[in-house]
Amino acid sequence: MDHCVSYLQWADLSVSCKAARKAHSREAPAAKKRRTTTTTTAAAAADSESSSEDAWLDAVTATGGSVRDQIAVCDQVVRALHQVFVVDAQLHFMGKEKFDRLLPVLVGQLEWSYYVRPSAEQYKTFVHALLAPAIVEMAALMGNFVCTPSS
Amino acid sequence: MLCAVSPPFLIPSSLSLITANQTLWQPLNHAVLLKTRSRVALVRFSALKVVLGFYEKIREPYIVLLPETLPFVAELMQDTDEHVERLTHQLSKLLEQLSGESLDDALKK
Repeated sequence: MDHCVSYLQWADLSVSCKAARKAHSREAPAAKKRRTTTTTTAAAAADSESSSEDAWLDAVTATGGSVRDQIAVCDQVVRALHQVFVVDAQLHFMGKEKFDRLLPVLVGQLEWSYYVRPSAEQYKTFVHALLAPAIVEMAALMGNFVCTPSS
Repeated sequence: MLCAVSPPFLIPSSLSLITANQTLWQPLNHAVLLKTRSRVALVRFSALKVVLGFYEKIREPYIVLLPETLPFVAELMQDTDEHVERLTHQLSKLLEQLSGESLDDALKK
């Protein structure tokens, strides 16, 4: 569970850092208006992040990490979580603490993944095939969770 | 055994289940609803799709979160993006169907 959260947060932090870099390195071109608007938002958020995150991203990139890898890992993590939510009605692995930890990073992917995916089509595919079903399944599990005797 | 337990003892436990449901669902519902205020139309659409998914999957039990959801639905009714607006109408229809009453007045407030 800790790994899932950190992988999903990893995607978030790297997006913030990249957005900040873009904002500093280039003027807003009119042709990329959509991306520029979103970059400004992300950059504002990223300004509050410490410079150590940027250094950390550099270290990750230097060791062979890439945005493509992050996307692939993120997809796998969300897919795995969806499966956990589906089978957990019998296993009772999830609990309130785990829900509380997963909620912000999973819901946050609705926005963060928009910035990290190279195209709107890829974002749509990710949300409709993986993210939305996972979040909905988590909500359904929350409903079952409180009705189980173990909880 | 259940017959031996008088109804007044059963009522508080059922009420606590409803409260527990809400305690878990409320932060999730609120977090997703906040995403419907994103500047990006596609993110708003996706968040709305998730909210629609909640009501389609969980149905009646999830209607406890209707009061919290309605202000966001009212905002999205006038969204600049036609896809978002269309999906909002679909959601409001489902909400009317699940709640069993017209939401026109509530959405106009």
